[in-house]
Amino acid sequence: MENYVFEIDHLNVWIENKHILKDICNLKIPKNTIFAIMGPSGSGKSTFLKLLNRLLELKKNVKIEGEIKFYGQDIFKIDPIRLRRRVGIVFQQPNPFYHMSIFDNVAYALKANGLIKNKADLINAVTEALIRANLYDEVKDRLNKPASVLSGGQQQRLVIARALALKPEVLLLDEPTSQIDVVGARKIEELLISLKEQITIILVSHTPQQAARISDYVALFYDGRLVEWGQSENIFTYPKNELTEKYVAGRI
Amino acid sequence: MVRLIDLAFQKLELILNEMSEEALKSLDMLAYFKKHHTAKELKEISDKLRKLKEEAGELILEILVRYQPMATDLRFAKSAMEISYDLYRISRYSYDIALALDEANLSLDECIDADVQNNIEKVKSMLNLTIKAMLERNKDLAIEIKNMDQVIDKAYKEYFYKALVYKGGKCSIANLLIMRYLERIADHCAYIADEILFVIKGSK
Amino acid sequence: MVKDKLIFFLAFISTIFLFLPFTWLLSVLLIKGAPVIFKGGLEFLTGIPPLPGDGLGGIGTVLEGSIFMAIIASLISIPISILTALYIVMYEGGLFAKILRFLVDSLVEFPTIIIGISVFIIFVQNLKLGLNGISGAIALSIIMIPYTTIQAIENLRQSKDEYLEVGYSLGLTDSNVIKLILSEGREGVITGILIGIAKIFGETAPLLFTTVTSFNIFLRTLTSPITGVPSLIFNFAFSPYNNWLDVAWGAALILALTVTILFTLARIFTRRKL
Ligand SMILES: Nc1ncnc2c1ncn2[C@@H]1O[C@H](COP(=O)(O)OP(=O)(O)O)[C@@H](O)[C@H]1O
Ligand SMILES: [Mg+2]
Repeated sequence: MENYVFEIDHLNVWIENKHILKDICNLKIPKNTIFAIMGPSGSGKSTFLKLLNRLLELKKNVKIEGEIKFYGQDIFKIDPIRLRRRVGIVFQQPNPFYHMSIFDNVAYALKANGLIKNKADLINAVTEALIRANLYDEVKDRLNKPASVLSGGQQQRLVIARALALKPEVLLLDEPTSQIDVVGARKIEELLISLKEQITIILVSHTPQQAARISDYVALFYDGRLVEWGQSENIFTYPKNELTEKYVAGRI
Repeated sequence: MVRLIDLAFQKLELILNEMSEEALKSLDMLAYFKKHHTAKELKEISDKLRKLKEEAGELILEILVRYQPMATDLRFAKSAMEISYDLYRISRYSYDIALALDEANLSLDECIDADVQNNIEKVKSMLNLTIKAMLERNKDLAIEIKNMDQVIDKAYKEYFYKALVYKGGKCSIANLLIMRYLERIADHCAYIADEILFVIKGSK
Repeated sequence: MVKDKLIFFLAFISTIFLFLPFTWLLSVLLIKGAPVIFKGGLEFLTGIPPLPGDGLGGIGTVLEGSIFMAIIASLISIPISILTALYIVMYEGGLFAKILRFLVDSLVEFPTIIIGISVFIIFVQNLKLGLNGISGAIALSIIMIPYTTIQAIENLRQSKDEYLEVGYSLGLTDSNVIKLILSEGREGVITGILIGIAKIFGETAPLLFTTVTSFNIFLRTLTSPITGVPSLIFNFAFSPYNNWLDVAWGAALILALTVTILFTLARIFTRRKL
């Protein structure tokens, strides 16, 4: 059981009475892997991702049925604030706090959550997060500059550092490179690979090529349903399901 | 909307078709060796197939780079690479047979025995079937081809043991060589059948 | 091509027509007002308005009054505006939020003179607050609130869209998420406040009903009978005394400059956001 971070079964989600996720069964996210989720837009990928750290429940008129376990524990019985500190998320559009310095962006959650009070510890934690996000060398001389001086790719890594500062066990990423140039995107992909030794990564990917490059496991969502999931090398070369075949071959 | 990768695959299939026809032609020529055709002609075909194989290889690389194919597309690209090599090898073995006959200064009908004649026909129809299976991506045909390969293997083995005890001079050596090469050609047909199954099912 | 030129020409003409009244206004103000200010010097900003025919004096009393009322009005409006805006943004779609939004939108369109009269009846007469800076500030704050609130709503909504999920995703509590949204949206909110202050600085009608028409008293207590610059202009400009007319022109220029500076500051804040 400890080998799976999330276990999802019989999951259904309605938003505003619209059936968004339909009977997602027997989906298990193995620990310390990159688990990619792909599918056409509107297939429910973002909805699914936000479910995993209970951000979805902030929306109005959301109805959730079924089972989601986090290390074997029912996530709906975990305090959402605690859960979110353990399961970080990064969105499509880089969204650093533009009014804060680079340093404060990373330090913010630690300070606001009262996790670190001592200045020296804070500096250590911020430095560590920036190093883990592969950004430290690029920003170490301008930690007090506002986040807006960074490029899109750097901003996205800053956002990753901001999430990593809380030392999460899982990082959710929703199409993190779709707004980033190729070089920036490649750096983020390399970063994710290096992170998976310590944490589990669930990545909504905007291209099957990216998913193929970096994921260990991959799932296809289509029209709110889980079509197929499994090890990436199998799915991309020998998909079992015809829809998967069509999706990765670009026939839909 | 036709996918861009499909246009490239059409080009690739044209090359494979041409290669199949040429490979078949080289087997046909063997039957009339010395009377109408020379080893030189068979060498030309084999050389041509090697060039076509290179061409197919380049096209496949281009397809991989440009379209980053996945699933069936990826498998087809990989298999096309193998198939083009197999077809080239088939023509090359035809040439090898011709060389063997040439060296011994024999024409095929001069000393060919019924077993060998029979095998040539079998391999020819096998190659025909292989090409058909390839064009149609026909799973059943592919399986049939693999069965035929086993028959040919067995025939070669029997002929080999027969030849061990039979002292028949240069004709018998030529026949044995031909049987050996035919067996190799049948192997390549079976490899192609494997590739066809791989493209269709994703496993061999 | 011809169409392009035509459009350019039309744009050019309309720009001129827009500029014409503006430049004309500014030149008249400068021609009439600048000499007065230069003549009066610093005294003009700090002195007491003159008696009829008795030199230039200054507008210190009413300038002080205007600033006092702007400060009190801001102290009332800013928290109310921000809280209202925050409520409307956080509970968008809810019934009470819709009602609040409707009230704010209606208040913008409300004639300021009616606000003046209402404050006079309720605060000055019924609550016996008297004609003074506090009453004036109450009337002005009612005018300011919808402006600052609407600006705050726009900016806080954007900030909420951007940072609500981010805040929660970082494990923040509700109150910290609200702090974050306020903090990231603050520049737009400040812009709104500056525009609101600029707006009330020049308001005349409500002052006529809520403050006095004597101009020579400095603020001693919070309820000293004082008034603001616009009332002085309103009274002096229609007087037959030449020195009063001069003071009115000078005061008008000061008022225009103050408002322009406030708007410019507001613009700078908006631009910083990008
Ligand atoms: N707040 C909402 N109200 C109604 N429908 C929604 C809402 N949010 C998302 N949806 C619908 O849910 C479906 C899945 O959306 P989403 O999870 O964003 O898909 P994806 O990330 O795969 O593009 C879409 O059809 C979308 O229109
Ligand atoms: Mg999405």
